[in-house]
Amino acid sequence: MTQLSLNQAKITIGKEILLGPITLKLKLDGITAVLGPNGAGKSLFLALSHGTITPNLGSVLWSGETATTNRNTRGYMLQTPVVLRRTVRANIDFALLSQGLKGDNRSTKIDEALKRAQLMDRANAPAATLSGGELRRMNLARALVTNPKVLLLDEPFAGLDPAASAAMETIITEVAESTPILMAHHDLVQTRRMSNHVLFFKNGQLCENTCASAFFFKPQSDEAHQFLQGQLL
Amino acid sequence: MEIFTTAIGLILSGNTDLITIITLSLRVSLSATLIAALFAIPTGAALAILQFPGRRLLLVISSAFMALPPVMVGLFVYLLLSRSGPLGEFGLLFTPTAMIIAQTILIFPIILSLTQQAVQPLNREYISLFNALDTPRSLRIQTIIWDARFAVSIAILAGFGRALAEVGAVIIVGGNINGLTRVMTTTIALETSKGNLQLALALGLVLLMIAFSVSLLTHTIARMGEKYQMVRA
Repeated sequence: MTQLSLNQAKITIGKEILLGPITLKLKLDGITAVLGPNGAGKSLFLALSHGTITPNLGSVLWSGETATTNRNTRGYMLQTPVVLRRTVRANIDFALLSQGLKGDNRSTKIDEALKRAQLMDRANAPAATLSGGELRRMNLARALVTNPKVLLLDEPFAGLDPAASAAMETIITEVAESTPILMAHHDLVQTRRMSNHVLFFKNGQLCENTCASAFFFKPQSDEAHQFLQGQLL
Repeated sequence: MEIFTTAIGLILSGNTDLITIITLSLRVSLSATLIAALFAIPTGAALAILQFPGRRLLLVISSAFMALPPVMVGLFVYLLLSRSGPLGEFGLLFTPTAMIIAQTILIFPIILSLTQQAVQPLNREYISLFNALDTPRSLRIQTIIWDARFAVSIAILAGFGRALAEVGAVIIVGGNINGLTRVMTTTIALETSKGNLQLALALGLVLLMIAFSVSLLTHTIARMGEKYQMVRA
């Protein structure tokens, strides 16, 4: 079981506190949604969890190891997709190359990731020619191809139309059966359908850390209550 | 007009002196370009991605050296290679090797600066992915060079153009010795001063043709690159 624990973790710029202090112990299973309005600190929390940002104070650990190490055992999908000026296949291969993987079995792994992301027919197209939905799926495939122990998805549905969003939802739900997922999102209906645990943020503070059903039926904090009423949106 | 016809006739006649001069010119400048590119491209890319104290100073120095006067480089290499100089024992002065050394020094900063400028924006675009995947430094350098390969080829061609066209450095370290170190530009300078304008003009036309070919190649390469560029913001 993958466990994420934060101990008084805090991100500051000068005197301004951007996030935290956060203390939590989380056994990840299925989909854990990171919810909150814009500017709540969801992306920052994901970057902090992944170890691309180090806390100014406190610690972030994955099963006892600090988040900055072994980053490549986790898959991370960026909010703004980064597109290498290569084919789709080469874009996905880049995650394997970054792990120092050489040799022939790379191609099998890439094929598998392409299939899961429904991108087989676009494999040899220059990535710059993909549509918005395809781009998001390519980014997901790149995060998946290394067989990560856990997936961190930063707003995987941002900017997608209903059809593309539905396709993405199917893929993520399927992946979640074998890989625990930490996912930043702000759509309530979709989150309710997909997630089994919720971390709710507002103004850089973790307001709720509870199972999804409890969060949606009986939110404990006023902030979560207001958010669910649509008042903070 | 008559002078032009004579010059063109001279080119078409396949005059051996002319061919020796052109071949030496190309040999010296191509060797210098190859050697300079081999070192300048990785250095330029490393300067784009690495952060260390003094980096900006190095960049300022390298851009300033783009405008290095060829006669200065010639003088410097002359002092280095002359009998009483530190490398005098190798007896390289007034040989094609000395000319290659001088041109390499002359165009190294050009290729370095242009490479750095070409890959810097790419690094800015890719860095969040590099960090998310924990991509090793050597792979980052390879990646931005490869993905900016079209712009980098243009940097190489700019260096080659500069090397082929300069006269100050090669005349000082080569000595313009007939049949040994006489290249196109030095011949033009000499023949013009002697009043032998046909030969000078013939060589000038050849230089111009090479310049056109280089330009054509640059444009072709740039067009090839467009397919992989982002088509939208």
